[in-house]
Amino acid sequence: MAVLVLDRVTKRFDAFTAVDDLSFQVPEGGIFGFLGANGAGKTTTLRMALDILRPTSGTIEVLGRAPDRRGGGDVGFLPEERGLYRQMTALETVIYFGRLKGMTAGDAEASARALLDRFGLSAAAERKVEQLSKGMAQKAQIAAALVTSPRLIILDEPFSGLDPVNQAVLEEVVLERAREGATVVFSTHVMQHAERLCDRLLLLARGRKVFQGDQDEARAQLPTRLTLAARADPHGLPGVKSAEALAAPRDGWTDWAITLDPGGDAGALLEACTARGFALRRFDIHRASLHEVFLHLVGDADAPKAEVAA
Amino acid sequence: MNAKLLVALREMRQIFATRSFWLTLLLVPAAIAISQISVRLLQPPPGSAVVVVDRTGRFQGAIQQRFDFDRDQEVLSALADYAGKWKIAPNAPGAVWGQGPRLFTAADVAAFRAAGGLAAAQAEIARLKPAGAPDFRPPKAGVIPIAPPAGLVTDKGPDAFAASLTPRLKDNVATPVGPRKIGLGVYIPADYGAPGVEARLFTDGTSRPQLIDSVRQELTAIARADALKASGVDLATLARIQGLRASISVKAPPEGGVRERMMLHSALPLALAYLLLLSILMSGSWMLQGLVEERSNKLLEAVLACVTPDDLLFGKLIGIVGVGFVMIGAWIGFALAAAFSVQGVVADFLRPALASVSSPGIVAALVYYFLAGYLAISVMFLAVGAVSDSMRDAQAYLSPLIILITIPFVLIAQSVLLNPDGALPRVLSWIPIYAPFAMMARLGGGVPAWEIVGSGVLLGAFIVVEFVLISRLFRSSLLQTGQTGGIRALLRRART
Repeated sequence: MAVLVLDRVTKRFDAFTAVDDLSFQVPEGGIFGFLGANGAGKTTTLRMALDILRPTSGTIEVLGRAPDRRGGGDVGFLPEERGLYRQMTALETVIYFGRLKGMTAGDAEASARALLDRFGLSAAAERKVEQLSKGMAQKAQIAAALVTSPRLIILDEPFSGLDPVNQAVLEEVVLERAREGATVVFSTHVMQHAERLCDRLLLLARGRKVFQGDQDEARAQLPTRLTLAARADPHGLPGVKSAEALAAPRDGWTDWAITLDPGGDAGALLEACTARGFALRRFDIHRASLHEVFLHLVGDADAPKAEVAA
Repeated sequence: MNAKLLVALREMRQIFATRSFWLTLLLVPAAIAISQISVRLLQPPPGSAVVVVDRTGRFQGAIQQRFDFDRDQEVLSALADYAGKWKIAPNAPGAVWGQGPRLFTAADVAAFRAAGGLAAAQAEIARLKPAGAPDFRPPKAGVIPIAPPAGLVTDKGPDAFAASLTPRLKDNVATPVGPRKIGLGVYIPADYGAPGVEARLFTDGTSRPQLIDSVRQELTAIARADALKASGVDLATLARIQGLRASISVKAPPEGGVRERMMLHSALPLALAYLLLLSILMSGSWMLQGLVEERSNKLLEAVLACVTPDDLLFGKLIGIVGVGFVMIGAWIGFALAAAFSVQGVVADFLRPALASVSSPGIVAALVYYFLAGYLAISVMFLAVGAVSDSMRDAQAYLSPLIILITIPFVLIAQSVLLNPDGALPRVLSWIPIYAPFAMMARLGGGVPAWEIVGSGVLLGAFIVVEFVLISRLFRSSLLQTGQTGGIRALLRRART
C-alpha cells in the first residue's frame, strides 16, 4: 500500500510554477528521500501533502484519503522553519501539539514525557522554551512532531540547523521509527543524509521529477568508473568506454582511470580481464555519490550546493 | 477538545502570563482608588478660626451675623441635597430644605431658624429617613469666629496686631469645635471711616474670597448707612433701603432633572463603550503580538499542519474575546464591589447609573453590541497580524487602525453627553465599526427599537462579510513572508 500518492500535481503561485505535473508514490514502511536543490518544489509538495497548501491541479492521497487534518495523529510533521512558543514549557509544547492532533490530555502527556525522556530532556521538561538551549528546543520540536506516534512522518529539511550531535540523534530516531513500521518521508538538499538513511529516493528539479528509485538505481544512472593498475593498455577491453593514464608507468605498471559504457558492469570487465590473462595489480570500483548522480541528472545549475553533513 | 478551543485557551494563557495584562486589569480598581483619594484630597480643609478685632465696636456684631447667615445657608443647601438624595423631601414639604436645592434667601434662612434650625431638621430627618440611609451630617463649618486668643495684641494698632498674629497663623488655637488654625484676622481701627483709614485683613495665605467678600459687604453696608444718615435720610427710609434686595429668581434643574438624569443614564453605557474600546485595543494588540511572534518564530507551519487556518483564526478570536470578557468581568466586578461597599462619589454615581440598564431589552442590546463590537474590531487586528512579519511592519497598519477607531469614539462620547439623540451619534450608529460604541453610549438615553434592530442587523451583516474577506486574507497570508505587495495585493488576496 502507498502511504502517499501524488498524481499529476501542479502548484502555481501566480505566474510561478512551483510544482509541475508531479506524480509519485511512497510505499508503506522505510525511509523515502525527497531530494532537490533549494527552490526545487520540495517544501511546496510536502505542504500540499499536509493540506497546508492546495494543489492547482492534480490529486493527492495521504494514507488512502485526500489530505486533511482528520487523521492528523497519523501524520507527524517537522517543518524546515522551526520555532516554539517561548512562554510555554517543553512539556506543554509537546502536549499542545499532541492535543491539536486529537490526543486526550492524559495520552498526550504520557507520550510527551516518554519522548522528552528519550531525548534526554526530562530534567528540562518544565522549563520554558525561552530558557532552553537551541539544541534542546530542537529536540522538543522533534518530540512535538512524533508525539502521536504517527504512521507517516514528514520531515522537511530535518537536519538543517542541527548541530552534529542532534543530527545523529535525529538520524537514530528516524531509523528507529522506520524499524517500528512507520514511513518516513524527508526532504533534504544534503545528499549525505539521503545516502545514509534512504531506501528510496525522489529527485526534483524545478518542480519536476527527474528520478525515482533506490540508491543503486540512482547510481546506475552514471557510467561506472574504475581505477586499474595494469601492464597493458586497457583500451579495447569489453565495456570500456574510455581509459586515461593517470601517471607515467612505474616498474612497467600504469594506473588507469576507466569509464565503462552506460550500463556496463565492473564484474564483467574483471571476468574478461581474467579470461584474457590481462594482468592487473589494482581493480578499484569507484562508487558514485548521490551528489554526482544529481549533478549528472539535473546539471550543475540545479544541483544542491555542496554541504558537509555529519 | 475542539482545536479552536485549544488555540483559544493557549492564546488566553499566553496573554494571562504577560505583565501588561495584569497591569491593565488593575486599571479600574486603580481608577476607583484614585477617585476616592482625590475626593479626600479635594475635601475642603477643616474650618479656620477667624479673629475679628473691632476697635470701633460697631462692626463686630454685623460681621458675626453675616458669618452665622452664611453658615445656615450652607447647612440648608446640604439638607436639601440630602433630602433629595434619600427621597425625604416629598414627606417634608413644609420644611425649607424639603423644597429642593436652590439659592436660599435671607427669608429662607429666617424660616429655617424659626423652625428650630439644624437640631429641628435633624429630628425631622431621623423620623422620615428610609432604612439604610445614613444620618444627616452637616458640612464642617468653614468659618469659626473666635475671641482674640491670649497674647494677641489688639490695642496697639494694626501693625502690632499683625506682628502678634503672623507667627501664630501656623499654630492651632482652641475653638468651640476643637483646635483650628487661624485663617483670617480682621482689624478695624478705632478711627475707621476717617479718610485714608482702612480695615486690615490678614490671611494665612489661603485664598478665601467668599469670606473676605462677606466681611467687605458688611463693612460697606454700614459705611453706606452712615453716609445716607449723614445725607439726612431718615431712619425709616434708611431701614427700607437697607432691606432692599433685587428681586431675582434662580432656577436650576431639580434633583433627578432631565440633564442630570441623562448624564447618569448615559454614564454606565458610555463607560461600557469606553471599556469596550480599551479592552479591544489592549487584547487586540496582545493577540497581534502573539500572531506576529508565531510568524517571526516560524511556528505557523507546524501549527497549520495540525489545524486549519479557519480553526486558527476562530480559535484566536475566541481567545481574544475570552480575554476581553475576563477583563470586562473583572472591571465590572471591581466597580460593583466599589459601588456597594465603598461610600463616596463612585458609589453615589454607580447606584443610580445602574438603573439605566435594568431593562432586559437594554441589557440584551448592550451584550450584543459589546460582543459584536469586539468581534468586528478584533478581526481587524488579526488581519494586521496575518500580513505583518514583525511588530514594526504591524505598526504601519496599526496606527491608522487605532486612529480610525478612537477618534470617532471621542466625538461620540462628547456628543452623547451633550445630547444622546444628536446627529453625530445617530449617524455613527449606522456605520458598523462605530455602531457598537455609538449605540452602547446612546442606549442609556433611550433609542427607538427600530434603530437598535436596524443598526444591529447591519452590524451583524458587516461582521459576516468581514469574516469571509479576512479569513481569506488570513489563509493566503499566513505563510507568506517578505513584502505584502501593498494594499492592492492585500485586497486581491481577500477577494480570492
